[in-house]
Amino acid sequence: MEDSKIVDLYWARDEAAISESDKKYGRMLSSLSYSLLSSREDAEECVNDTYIDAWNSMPTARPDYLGAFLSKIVRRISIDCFRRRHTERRGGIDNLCAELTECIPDVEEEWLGSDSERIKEIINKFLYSCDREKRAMFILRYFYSKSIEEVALKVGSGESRVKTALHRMRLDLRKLLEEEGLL
Amino acid sequence: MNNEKIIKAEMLLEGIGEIDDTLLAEALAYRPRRRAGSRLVILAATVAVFLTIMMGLGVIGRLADEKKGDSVAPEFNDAPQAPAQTGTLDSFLSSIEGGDGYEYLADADTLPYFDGMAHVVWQYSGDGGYYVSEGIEGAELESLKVEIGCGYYVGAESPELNCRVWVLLGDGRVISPYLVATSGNISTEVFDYEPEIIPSEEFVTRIQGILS
Repeated sequence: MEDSKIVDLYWARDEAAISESDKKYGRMLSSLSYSLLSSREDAEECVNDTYIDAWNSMPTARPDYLGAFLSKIVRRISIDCFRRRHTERRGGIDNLCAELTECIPDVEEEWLGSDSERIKEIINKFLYSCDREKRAMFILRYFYSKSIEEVALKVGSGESRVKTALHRMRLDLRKLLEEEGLL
Repeated sequence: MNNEKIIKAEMLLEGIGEIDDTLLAEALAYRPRRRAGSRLVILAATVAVFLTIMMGLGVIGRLADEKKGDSVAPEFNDAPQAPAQTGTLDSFLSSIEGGDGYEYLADADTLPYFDGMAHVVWQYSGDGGYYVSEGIEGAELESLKVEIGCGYYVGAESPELNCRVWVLLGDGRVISPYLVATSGNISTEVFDYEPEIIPSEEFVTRIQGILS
């Protein structure tokens, strides 16, 4: 079913919206949440919470890309879940954060990253400045939490090339964050 | 690692959650472009050599038309259609139905999703249980993984198959060789699907080697 028709179901408060969303995007959402949490039970719970959140958001939201809309919700819920339950369990979030520390310099300055609007602006600016392939690599790795292997398979490249490209992108992002005065 | 840096990195990770929807959709739909320039050069050189040889042998005008499918991951707009024999993996698995040597599990929850080794899992139509191969790892696994997601686009109508097939990667991820290798087609358990591609001959050969 097309995204627009599923969104219409949400607006009509028809519960088929949930089943249609699950049919079309359930596997992707489960996979994304699991990649972050490394727990099937937690991932299942996050996906269920995602549908509740989506139900409460529409109306008034009317997303053009329902998959992206739901992905953002499940990602946010999964990161919150990770924070609440993170004890000794090493999930995908730890690995992603370890990589992203390359974007943070070793100085003790006030972190203006709590300004979420500015961060959003800068990250989108950064991505629009990259070519399609690099952009896909970055988004697949740091938004969709895909492994290096999965990213390589998706973009039709070797793992070594993906690692090198992501490393360079992290350094470029760091440079942009510094130029924009966020660091 | 510096805790403060980790906290800042987490904030950045959260900020990445606000990427524009169009970019997210673009990334999911991304297909690698073939390098048209180098392919054209190679093709032109090959044709030139071939014609030279054929002219020398005097066989121009009697060339047979030979169609050969391309076994790389198909792009939906220009993927070659499946060859006449479309059920090679299906027919191979059908031929070993009832045979010994494979573990049979009635319950999908007991499948080896996390034992660190890959397993081919298949289910015959009308049978609720699952057949499981021995663990696959090392070079055998790597050569299998290269072929997953490669094959022939099935077109408008999915073929009738006697078996559903999955590959459990051993780390909780589950894929099917009948689906294009995209992030949306990776699951955490065996799942129902409509075939999008027919697995390549190379994939079938690898499966035959693993299950024989």
